[in-house]
This record gives sequence, C-alpha cells and structure tokens, in this order.
Amino acid sequence: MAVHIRGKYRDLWAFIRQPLDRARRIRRASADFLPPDRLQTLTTALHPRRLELTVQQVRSETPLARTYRLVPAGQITGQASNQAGQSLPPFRSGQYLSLEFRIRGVRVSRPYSICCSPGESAQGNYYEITVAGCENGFVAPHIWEQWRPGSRVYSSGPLGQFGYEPLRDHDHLVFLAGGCGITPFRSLWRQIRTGEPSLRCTILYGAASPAEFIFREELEQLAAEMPARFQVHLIAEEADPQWHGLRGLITGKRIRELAGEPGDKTYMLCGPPGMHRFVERELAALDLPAGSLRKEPCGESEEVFLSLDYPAAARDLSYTLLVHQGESTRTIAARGSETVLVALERAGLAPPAQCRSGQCGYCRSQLLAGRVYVRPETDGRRQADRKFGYFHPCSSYALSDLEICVPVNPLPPLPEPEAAEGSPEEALRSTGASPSTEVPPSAQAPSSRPAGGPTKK
Amino acid sequence: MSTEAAIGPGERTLPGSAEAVVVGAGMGGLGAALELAREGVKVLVLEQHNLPGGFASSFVRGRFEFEPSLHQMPAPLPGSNSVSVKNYLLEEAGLELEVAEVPEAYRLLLTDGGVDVRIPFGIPAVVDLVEAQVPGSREAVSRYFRLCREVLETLGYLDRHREDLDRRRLISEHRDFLNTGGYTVQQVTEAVGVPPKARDILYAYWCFLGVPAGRLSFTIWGAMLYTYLASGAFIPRMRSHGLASAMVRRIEQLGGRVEYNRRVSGIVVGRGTVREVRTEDGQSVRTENVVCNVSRSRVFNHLIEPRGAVPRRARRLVNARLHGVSTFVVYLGLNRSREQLGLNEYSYFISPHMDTERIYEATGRLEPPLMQAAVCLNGAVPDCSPPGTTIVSMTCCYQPQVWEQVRPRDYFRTKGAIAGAMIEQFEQATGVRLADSIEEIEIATPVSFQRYTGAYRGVVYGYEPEPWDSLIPRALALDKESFFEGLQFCGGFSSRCHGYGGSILTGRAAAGRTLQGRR
Repeated sequence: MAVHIRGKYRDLWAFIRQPLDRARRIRRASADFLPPDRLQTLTTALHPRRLELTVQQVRSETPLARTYRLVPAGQITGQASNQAGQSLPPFRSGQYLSLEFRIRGVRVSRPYSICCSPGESAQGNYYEITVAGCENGFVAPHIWEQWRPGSRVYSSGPLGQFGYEPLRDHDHLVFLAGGCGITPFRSLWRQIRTGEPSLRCTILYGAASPAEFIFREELEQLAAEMPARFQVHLIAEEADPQWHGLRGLITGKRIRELAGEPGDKTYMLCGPPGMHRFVERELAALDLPAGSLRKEPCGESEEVFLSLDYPAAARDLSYTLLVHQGESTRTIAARGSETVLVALERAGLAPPAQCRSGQCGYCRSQLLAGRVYVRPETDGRRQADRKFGYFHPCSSYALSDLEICVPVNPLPPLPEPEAAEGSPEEALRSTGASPSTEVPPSAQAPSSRPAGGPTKK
Repeated sequence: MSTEAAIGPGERTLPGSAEAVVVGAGMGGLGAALELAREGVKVLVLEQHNLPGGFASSFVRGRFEFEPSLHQMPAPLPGSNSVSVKNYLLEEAGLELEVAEVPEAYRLLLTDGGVDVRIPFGIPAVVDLVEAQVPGSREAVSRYFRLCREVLETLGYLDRHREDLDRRRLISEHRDFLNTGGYTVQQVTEAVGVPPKARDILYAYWCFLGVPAGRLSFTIWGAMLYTYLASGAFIPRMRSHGLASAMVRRIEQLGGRVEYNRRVSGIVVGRGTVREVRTEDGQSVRTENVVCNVSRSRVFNHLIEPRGAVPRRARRLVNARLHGVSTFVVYLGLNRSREQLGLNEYSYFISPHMDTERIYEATGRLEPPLMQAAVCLNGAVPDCSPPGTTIVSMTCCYQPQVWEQVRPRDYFRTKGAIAGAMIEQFEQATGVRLADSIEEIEIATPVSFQRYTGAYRGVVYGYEPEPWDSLIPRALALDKESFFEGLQFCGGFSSRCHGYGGSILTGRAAAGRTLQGRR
C-alpha cells in the first residue's frame, strides 16, 4: 500500500523532475566567479594573522618601564587575499598582542597586554603596550634598544580571555597586580572609567620598590577623581625612606581588609609567576566562590623548580631533542630548566607560539617519545591531547631525551629588518621622555621577587 | 647552541609528491584519509588550522573543556544493514574512541503554545507520547514514521547497490521513497495527515538542517528524523576533538600523515587533470589525486590554478546553489551541578512556536533568534566537567549574509547582546536560573567558525537541501561535478549534506572513487 502525496503519476514525476530541475537551475545560473567572501573581510578585520605596525611614540613611565604606541604600518595580513583596510582590530580590555621578533637570527614571540582602552584605541587607531626593561631576558632589552619612532613591529591580532565579562562577572572588581602585571588593568580602568559607569574597582598594586610603580600618577589621580568607584592601594615590598604608603606583599588578610568580604566580587590577578604563586596561596584562605578569580597566566616561569612535584634533579640537566618539523628532522639541545618552546626557538625552528603560558594551544605538538613536566597551573591541554600524546611546548619541560613532532609556523618568516637609524636615546628625546632617568637594562639584576620579574602583563 | 645538527631539507618543506593529498582535516577529510590509509595509500592531509577536525574540536577555558559544535551522532539502527558511522569508526576502522549515549531525543519547549514535552528515543515510545499530547494522532504519526523508515531504508539500498541498481526493483519495492522524493517536508507531512500540534512536536530537529519545512527535501528530513528517533544517538566522551584525534591517530598508524598550519592556496590542474597542490607558504606537492574537504564554492572560485581552467559549468554549479546557515553558540561553564541547577535533560529545543518559515526568516536578521538548540553536556557525559559543575551550550542559526554586515567596532557588543538574550530565553523557558552560576563563558559567531575552520562565508550547514538539491539529485550528478580527473569532494558541502556522520561517509566515498580512478 503506497502512500500518495499528489497522486500516483504526479508523485513519480515530482521525483524524476528533481535532477532535471537541478540541471536546469545550473544551466540558468550565472557563470561569473563568485564575489569576494564578505564575511572573510570581517573575520580578517577582527582576527588578522599578522599586523604590520610602526612605533609612533615612546613614553618613559618609570626608569624601568616604557610605553610604546603602535600604529598600522602597512598591510594587515588576513586569512585570504582580500585586505581588511587599515583600521586596527578592536579588542577587549585585558587582551594581549603576540609580538614577533627576530633577535640575533632567532625567531621568537612574546605576549604583551594592550594597556590602552578599546575606546581610545578605536578613536586614535593605535595600540599601546608597556615594556619593563627590568627583564633579565632576551626580548625586553631588544625592544628597549631597538624600538624607536618609525621602527617596524610585527604582531598578531588581539588575543586572550583575560578581562571583564558582564555576563559572568560581578560589578565590584578587585584588581590584584604585581609589577609589570599592571598593564592589562590600565586598559580596564581606562575603559571602565568612561564606558562602564556601574562598575567599581578596588586596585591592589604591589611592586618591589616605590620607583617601580608604573602608572602611579594616573592611579592616584583616578582615585582622587572618582573615590567612590576606584580605590587604589599601592603596596611597596622593600623599605624606602621616601615611601609612606603600604608596605609588604599582597596577602589574603590585606585583600580582605582593603576590598572587603568575598562573595559579590570578581578578583583579577596578573603579575609575575612568583607573585601569582604567592597570591593564589593567600587567596586559598579566603575561600573565594568558584570562578570568582580570573587569572592572566604570566608567560614562562623561570622558577619551574619551585613547583612542588618538579623533579629537582632535572633542573641542571641537559637533554637531546629529536625534532620533526615538515620534512626535516633535527637534533637540538634543551636544558631541564627551560621550556621545550624556548629550546626550539633557540635552535632556530620558529615554532608557532602565542600565549606562552600553556593556555591557547597554538604551539600544540606531538610527543613521540620521552617524558615532559607540565606545571599543573599552566596545563591547558585538551583531554584527548593528553590521551593521544600531544603537549604544549610553551608550558612543558623535558625530563628526558625527547622525540617530538612540531607543526610549522603558519606565518611566513619576518622580512629582513631595515637598517636602524638614530639611537634609542635620540628617540626618547624626540618624544619628550627623559633619558636621564633611565637605567640600562644590562644593569638590572635578575629578579625572583614576587613583584619583579618578566614583562608579560 | 652548538649541538644542533640539521638533517635533510628546511623545516617548512613538504614531501615533493604524494599518492593522494587531502585538503582539509575536517570530518570529511579525515574520513577520506582514514579510508585511503586503510587501503594502503600514502596519504598526506594538509590542514590550515593547528588542530584536526574542523568543526569537530574542543577548547579549554579555566577548568572546562567545551564541545564547539556537536549535538549528537546517530547510533546504528537496530536490525538494519544500512551504513552506520559508529560501526564504521569503531569496528571497521578500529578507532580508539570512547563514546557516550545521549539519554533522550529532546525536550521541546514552545513557549507561546505552552508545549513542554520530553521526547524519548524509540519510535513506539515517541508515537505513544505524541498520542498522549495530541489524542487521535497515533495513526497518522505511525504512518509518517513508516514513510520515514522507508526513505532511510531505500537510501541504504541505493548505497549498497550503487553499481548494480535494479531500477525496476527500485520502483516496485521502494515506491514510497519515490513518491515522496520530489516533495518538501511540508507537502509530505500535510498529505500524510499529521495533525498540526503533532507536527510541531516532530519538527524540532528541523533546526539541524536549517531549511524551513516548505523548502526542505523530505528525503533528507525523513531519513534524519527516523535515524535519530529509532536508533538513539551518541557523542564522543572527550568532545569531538576526541573523535578527530582518534581518526588522526589511526591515519598515522596506517602510514598517513597530517600536516597542520598548512593552508592550501592552489590546486594546479593541466589538461583537465590534477597535477599539484600548493600551500600558502610556497610549498608544492605533486599528486594525481586530491580529495577536497572544502566547498566547491571555494575550490572553483579560489583554488583551481589556472583560474581559466575552471569550466563555466562549474561556476554555474556553485552559483545555482544556496549557501546554508552558519551558527552562533554560547558556551557556559557553570559552577553548580546539573542536579543543583535542575537540568534534567541533555538536549533542549526552545522556540516560541514551530513555524519554521518564521523561525528561518528571523535567522536573516541580526537579532536574538526565535529558536535555540541547547545542550547540557553532563546529561550524556556526567564527568565532562569537574564535580559540582555543568557545561551548557546554546546554539542558533544565522543566514550567511547577516554577520557580513556587522562593523568590527560593533562586533563584541553585538555578540554579547545576543548571547545575553539567548541565556534569558533559556532561563525563561526552562525556569532554570543560570546567570548567577556562570564561571566561564565563551561566545562563537559565524566569524569565529570561519576564523578556525576557514568555512566559506562561515557556512556550517553546506548547501541547502531543497528537493532539487537533495541527496538523490546530488548523488546522480556526483560523477559530473568534480570537473577534473583526480579531484574529489567530501564534507558538509558535498553529497550527503552537512553533519558529522554524513561528512565522514562522504570522505569514505570520495576515497573509494579516488581508489577506483587511481592511475
């Protein structure tokens, strides 16, 4: 007993007709090539793979920190051949840029939080980042030495999830910043001041010494202008006869005293790894509701051996890494105290990397043989990746010789740098900053203090 | 460091040639590579993203790992010998894949009409439930499902007899398939006499196809509806990234290779034959066999080199077809258990009504959707998130032109506003409060999906399956629509329409055609 929709013959004809109808529609369709994919234009405008920027301005914030204003230089390289125009991608306060460098022949990336607000960025078509020269590192001294107005800079689009999210967060934000970790908060408070009138911020900012408070004047002014919405507490770690403010560290007791009882607040933490570890331990005693602490992971820890379960013996050992990438296979050396990512970069393999703190997975690679240590607090791997032996080199340390398979960097190599002109000192003078207050990066001792340390954020 | 020693060519280099190249490691591409590798072909998969899977992926936020796109895949139909993706993956291909059963078909909440029903799996149970809701519907609904089963079984028959199809037998034994094959869902559903209220209950899954009932091919609808309701459904335990990873592992075990961050920029043809695949970074791989997990829209407009080699008919083909919808998803990591929240189901369909025409029309506007499909992942995988937490995602559709009009500076505000409205719609319909338990939130728009998958115009649902472009017309034209010797297509834009299972099977079929045509 057959089902009929319109009748025996009409049904059969309706069926037979479809392929004919299809052929007819195709015959009658335009033979033009399709117009460009317009969504791709938006996708590229929001998420370009590489931005070509120029340093427009350098400001000296403290003897140890400089703010660089970056403006579009040229082409914004997207996912397809069409270009997105010259407007910089919008971002959310708290996001970072992954900057690309070639330093002494080595291709590396570093994440730097954007420290201007989205509003002023849109208006002036620029980003600002602040770089602390105190880093006992590779990249920050390079920036201090090489970047001056007119320098060409290569960057990702804005990335990362740190920041205020109205659908998730409370109206009272508690910023817990250490050292250079103040930078994403500057973007936040500048945005909140004008754009989010219902929010209130309590800012606890710790630095090693009073001279190291970046944006101190701006913060004090903010607190003076809007005392009901912004409470600012600067906390210096070291004794200083000139300092009459709070002293010591950002302890749990202090957070409670200054910001009040938890429950209706969102806490946001950004600072060097030592400070993160300390504050997180302190916060444990406060028994915060799950999810009310937002953290910006802070780049590679130079103190992996402080992690409780890290096998101390590995720290001073050196391992051999057999690295497959494309058609090439190389043998490189890795120290137990450095991330696999750093070892790859040092060997000139230009692995992909963005957040450098285990979270974004952009450097995801395959572990074919050997063992790695992953700091639990930076283990952002997917469940199936653990099962099938993938790892994030940026948060992993070799515990044995390794055989790994690393994807190629999707971005083409950086163009050769143009010959540098003028000295950084001249550059600073040209923007009105005072070079006399500057301490050469090389004079800085490596810092393992809770409020010193690497530059990221 | 001085210990460094280079062996072989530069690290960006790809092999100079490959027996077969698969462009795109989505479900179709991985399906194709899996089948080619199983047949001993040294296959090279080139994927533009740094992960396999395309839409089949996952992402981590805080202590949650979210499923980006999958709601459910159909389980094997009991007592049927039609193709089952699950059996293929687990038994034939031998994937290391852990799966979890989806507990029920869906809970449907139609807020204007006061409908709130929980649809179980199993046809008799569904018929009983609809009868209880709409007394007197039993006979028509049963007839409807018999028709749907007939459609599904005929498709299985056609699959098995691709080579030796007996047309006379098709006409005599599969008459209902033919009688309904030229019609839309609406035409058939009305003709069978399903009462409007029963129809509304059964139409919930239409949003998995994204074409209103008045234009949607009954063939694909009937097959999908019956498959899910009769067979039940499953999901990979470790999100669909677990599925993609298991496929990659098997491909690699069988000698295939997957290269990430390799965007294909050209497929070079000569004398109507595939010659070479080029990547954006200037590498090229000689090959005579290419399987594209990329839409024909992109391949014929942007990838074939030289462009002049693309026949006019290929351009007409993509211009004649309708690009389906993209999706918008709100992902929530909640800091209460599903019991505390009161989320008892896995799958929720929420809409004011089931007028698919009006719902679809609203997907053409940049505003909160009328209909959303929500999933509480813990309903199928209780331990998908830490104890005391829950993962919920809410999905709606947008036509591709909608998000093209958003200005970059309005983007964040727009997506936040729509996400907020969707959360509110869910809360109001279910009476479950989510807003004060949100520990993590992520929002994906068509832009996000395009960013990660490269999908043409952000389209998730491939070409729209109206009756003229449904399964049978596509299958009949299959041999004529690659236009180049050695070129095959698979994935959501190919012959089985979109969906994980269909895409994997098109990959397998494309691999089969590649093997047949291999020179």
